[in-house]
Amino acid sequence: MRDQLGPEHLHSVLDAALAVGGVDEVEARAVHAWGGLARFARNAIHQHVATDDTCVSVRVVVDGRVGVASTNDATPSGAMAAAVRARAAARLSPPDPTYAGLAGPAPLPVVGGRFDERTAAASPARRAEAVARLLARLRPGQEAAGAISTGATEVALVTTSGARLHALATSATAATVVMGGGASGHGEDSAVGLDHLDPAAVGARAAETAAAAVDPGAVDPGHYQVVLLPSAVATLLEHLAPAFSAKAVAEGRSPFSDGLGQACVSPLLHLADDPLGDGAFGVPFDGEGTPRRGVPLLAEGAARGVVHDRASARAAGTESTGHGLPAPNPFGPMPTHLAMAPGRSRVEELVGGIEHGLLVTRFWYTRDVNPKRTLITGMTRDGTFRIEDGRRGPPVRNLRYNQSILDALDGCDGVGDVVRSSSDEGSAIRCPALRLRSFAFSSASDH
Amino acid sequence: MVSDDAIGRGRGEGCRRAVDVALAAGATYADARLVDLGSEHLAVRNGEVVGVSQTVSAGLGVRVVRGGCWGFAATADLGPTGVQAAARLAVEVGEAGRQSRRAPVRLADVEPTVATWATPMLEDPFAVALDDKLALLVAASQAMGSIQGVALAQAGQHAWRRRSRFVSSEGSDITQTVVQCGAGITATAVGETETQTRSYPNSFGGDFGSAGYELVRDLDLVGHAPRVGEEAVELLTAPVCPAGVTTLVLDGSQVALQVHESIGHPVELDRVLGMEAAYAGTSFLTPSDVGRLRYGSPLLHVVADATTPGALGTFGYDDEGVPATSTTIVSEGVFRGFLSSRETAAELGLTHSGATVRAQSWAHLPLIRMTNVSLRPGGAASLDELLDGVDRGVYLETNRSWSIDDRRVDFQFGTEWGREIRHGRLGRVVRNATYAGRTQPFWSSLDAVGGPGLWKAWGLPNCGKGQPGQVGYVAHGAAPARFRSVLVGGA
Repeated sequence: MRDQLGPEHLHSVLDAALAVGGVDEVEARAVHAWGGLARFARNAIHQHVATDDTCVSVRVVVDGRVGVASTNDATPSGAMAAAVRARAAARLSPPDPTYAGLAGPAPLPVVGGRFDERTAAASPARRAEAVARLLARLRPGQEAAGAISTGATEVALVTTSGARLHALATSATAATVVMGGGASGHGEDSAVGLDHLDPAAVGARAAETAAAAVDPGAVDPGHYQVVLLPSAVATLLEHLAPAFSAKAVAEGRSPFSDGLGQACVSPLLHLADDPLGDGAFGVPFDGEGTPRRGVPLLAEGAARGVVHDRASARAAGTESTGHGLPAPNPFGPMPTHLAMAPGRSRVEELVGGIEHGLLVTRFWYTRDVNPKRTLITGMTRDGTFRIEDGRRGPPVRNLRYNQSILDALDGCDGVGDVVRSSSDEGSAIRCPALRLRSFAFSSASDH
Repeated sequence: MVSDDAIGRGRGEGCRRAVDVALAAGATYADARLVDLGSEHLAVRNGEVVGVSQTVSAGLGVRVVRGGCWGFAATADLGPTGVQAAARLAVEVGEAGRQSRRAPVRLADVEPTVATWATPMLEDPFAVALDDKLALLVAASQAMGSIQGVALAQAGQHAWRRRSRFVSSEGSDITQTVVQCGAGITATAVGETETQTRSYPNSFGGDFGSAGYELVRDLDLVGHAPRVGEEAVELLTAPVCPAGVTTLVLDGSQVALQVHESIGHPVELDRVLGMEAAYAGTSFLTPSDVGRLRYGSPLLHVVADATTPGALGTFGYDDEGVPATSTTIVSEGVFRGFLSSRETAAELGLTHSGATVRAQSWAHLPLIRMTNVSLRPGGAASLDELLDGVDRGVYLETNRSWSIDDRRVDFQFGTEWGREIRHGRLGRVVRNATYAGRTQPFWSSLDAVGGPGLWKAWGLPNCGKGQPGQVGYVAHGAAPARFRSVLVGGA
């Protein structure tokens, strides 16, 4: 446990799958993932796990028919057995008209610092120490729940078209909800290495918010001018992400299906899928073995790009942008490294521009209501405050919102100067705080 | 894939070895789960097969109590060295938590059990010829796609087989095979400003159960496909659901999701005790609410029953080796009991666990999960009987969106399909309907529930919980039900 297997070992396992007979093409992919997660609640670690697993997935093509099988028997015989099962599935399937061939050899982009040895080897004791540093920043009477995780991923991929890839990545995350006095606050951070994470700062941020949010007052639903902190902005971007899938665009399911370039958001906003930039995590190739590359998504007030996998690229007569998910993938390409550029305003300055509004720390349980209109609903959580005369005012109870993401972003008139890595229910998103002219809250809760 | 013999004999030794190593390393309690998972997922889109995938995964999870703290380690290396390393790592993990321990872990008693259990079924879904299964999905997809205006006609089938061996330091040794499967179809029509989707028999991929392929055959996907396609197209031009406070009648599948979100989750005792506060959230319930809190109207009877035949949340023993059981959650509208584990039951002073604890795989720590948390049938013999006497109202069917706050109080749901109710009858179709409310007032507005002939267990294969995230397979028995004075809207 806690050791990489290495390219030679993984490639030798995958090569066994490539040797399966009676097929035209084979792709074999191995993901070796190991690490641990220390979960705490009521100011104590209550669940702490360590896992290690390697999954081998094989895609075979026979006369344009595609079959996929996977196993965690990461031996040559296990990979071969998966290939045989994939071949049987392919032979029973009709030709896949969307099949676009396998990745061939291609140079990978150079991304430095994606793997941290100490994080890959992090012991349970180190995670527990990080938990202790976070908990040490709580104030009297506060309780925290959350998790410290360390994880390493080793991905290898080979194809009969000549791709032969291997890469390593690590990540460490700290996230907490601090509670006390009927209120709560939230903090989170992530980094490639555990040593680059500051659990104490995460704890302090959540503790400060929770303390400020005690005794929330009543608030009327309605349209408010708002400042959304990065965690809340990340939720909007996570739910906007599928709109940039070339497959969704082609099938008429995206708000951009009628074409890119039409004004739809504030010109202050610059959003890209940026898997190669500083602060991004993961390996430099996608689930199909295509080198990842950055794609501008929103700029100068309009949608500027969509992301492709091999199938959507072939249909559109272009090249994959390296946004393919591992087969089988009925969803199409997806941006998974969203990054919004910072602006020039401190959060205090964003708040300073509002006479009467709300400051939102975080959203919760957000779901699509009308995807084509980017209409979503959810609740505020972990610190919602009035903004009065340009300052953060007293806390208010949580509110439900029903809001079009694009409409909200169209009204953006201020962008924060600090980008934070946040996650809602998916991958980490790097984004700043935003000030929006109008956000629609439909009801208020009792807490 | 680990063979039946391996689960039953050879690898079972691995479980015992893991428990022995953990005890020798200082654990005061240990259990080991060897799990062999197999799954098959089939996807058809516009009459073409777009996904045939099969997955197998086998490994061992070792759970220990060391120094009063839980430790858990999991490995796919099932050789003696790998098993021993995992057991020792689990103890190391437990030891690491000692400094920040709250109180020593205590476990409610369980009778040591040596047993074997398997899902009853007529037709093993993994034994049915793949081309037969695909042919059914293709036919259903083509039948939907033949309807003018349907842009996407999708059909899917999923099957899971979970063979496990559980051995504990208290003497339990349980071998279990759980087989689950299900299928569904969706038609999507694309308009100028929005898309509309219709699903059968439910969204979330269809309907699922702990059963054999007979469940899929009984769904008659092909027979329902033309209607599903027609309704998706019809929704594009239907008026938006009028907003207002009105009488609401929900179909059984939406009642099932309502039970899931506003009863099933808040009665999970780990949430109540704050153990899930950071991710899944907490609950508006407290331990002192048992026997006192009015959850809803006197018509509200809810039971968590892991023995419901054929339901997706049915099993023989949970992942703590506790035999499946039935627990009353709400009786005549009064809250009666939680979903519990051995640890949370002991914390509350209960004599035994509610047998709800399960893990997604060998690599996951078992957690409290819903089993079959079901609304008992009422007295209405038909949908017409529920509509009878409703002068104005809305009938809503099949979930499209769902959201509820972190204490499980303030919710909003959207549905695929709606019909106005006028003078006791279904009227025009409406689209984009939503309804919103608060848990206790909403269930207090329940004034009629469909009878046994309308009741069925709806399987939900997508219940998320825990860190690292786990997907749970649960079910909710439900029938159509009527609620008064509900806020309904159109998005």
